[in-house]
Amino acid sequence: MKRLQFFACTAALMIVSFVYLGCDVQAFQPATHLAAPLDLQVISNDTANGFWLQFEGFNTETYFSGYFVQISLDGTNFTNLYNPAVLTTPADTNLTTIQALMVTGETSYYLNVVQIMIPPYQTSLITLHQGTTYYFQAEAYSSEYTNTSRPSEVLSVIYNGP
Amino acid sequence: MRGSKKMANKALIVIFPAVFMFLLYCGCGLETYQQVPILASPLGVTAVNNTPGQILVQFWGENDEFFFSGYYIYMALNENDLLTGGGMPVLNTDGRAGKPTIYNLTPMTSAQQFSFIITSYTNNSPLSVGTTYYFDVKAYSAEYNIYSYSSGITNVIVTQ
Repeated sequence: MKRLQFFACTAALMIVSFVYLGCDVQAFQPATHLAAPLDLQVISNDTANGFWLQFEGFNTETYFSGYFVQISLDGTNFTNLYNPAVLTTPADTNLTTIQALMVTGETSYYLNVVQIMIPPYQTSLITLHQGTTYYFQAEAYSSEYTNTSRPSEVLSVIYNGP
Repeated sequence: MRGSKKMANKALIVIFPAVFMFLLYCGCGLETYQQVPILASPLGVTAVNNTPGQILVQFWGENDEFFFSGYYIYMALNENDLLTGGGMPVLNTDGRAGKPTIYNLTPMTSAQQFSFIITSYTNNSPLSVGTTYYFDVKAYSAEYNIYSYSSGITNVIVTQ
């Protein structure tokens, strides 16, 4: 009798548990999911006005930290541009290229890229060369989960800046 | 002796299910997934009138959600209509009402740019030279009947 009670009780709790779990099966996205920034554009690429990139991001995730903008010479192997992107002092590699100051609403982000640091070891600045093709992409980043969004599209640019 | 065995049985009856429940609760992935469906917004929407009688609307999307269905392009004669949800959806090329402007899309694995040509206003009247038209775009899930936030609003003056 006791054994029966035991199994009946366990079974009842299992049913309740599975019903509860069943409500949870609607797992829509990983909790760490971040929306990708998109629409990278060059808005200035000359010696007079400098070299400026722009992209759009809409990240309302509470764990969103900022954006990494990445550069590549071959369109495949990308490295992060660290903050600040315009370097006069060694970069802080713990920071994203653009930090999240606001996490609500759509925002266009502007980035002045003149000189870059290739992480993680080099300490010297790399100067962008006129006439060289560079590839850029951006990713949203969460420091809380140390994960990134999918990358934006890749933008290829022949650098004509200063 | 018999009394203590009884007590042990009772304790087992209460403790075992309680532990079982606790373990289930801890392992059920409550913190692993979002509890509500959310769609990423399309971005970078533009509209141009480079061809007579046509507006080319373009935008970027990267919707990897398994429940993603397509995009609604909304059109209005003033910005406020779009801000207040009063914009009219642009009909898809198949003329199927109740479907997104661009539909039958599958979840993406990379960013994609979408283009859509508009030749008339939402009431089927031709585009009017000198008129400013406003647009925004939202991602849509037919499965959950939900929309993303707006892409942001763009506009174009029809000159030809």
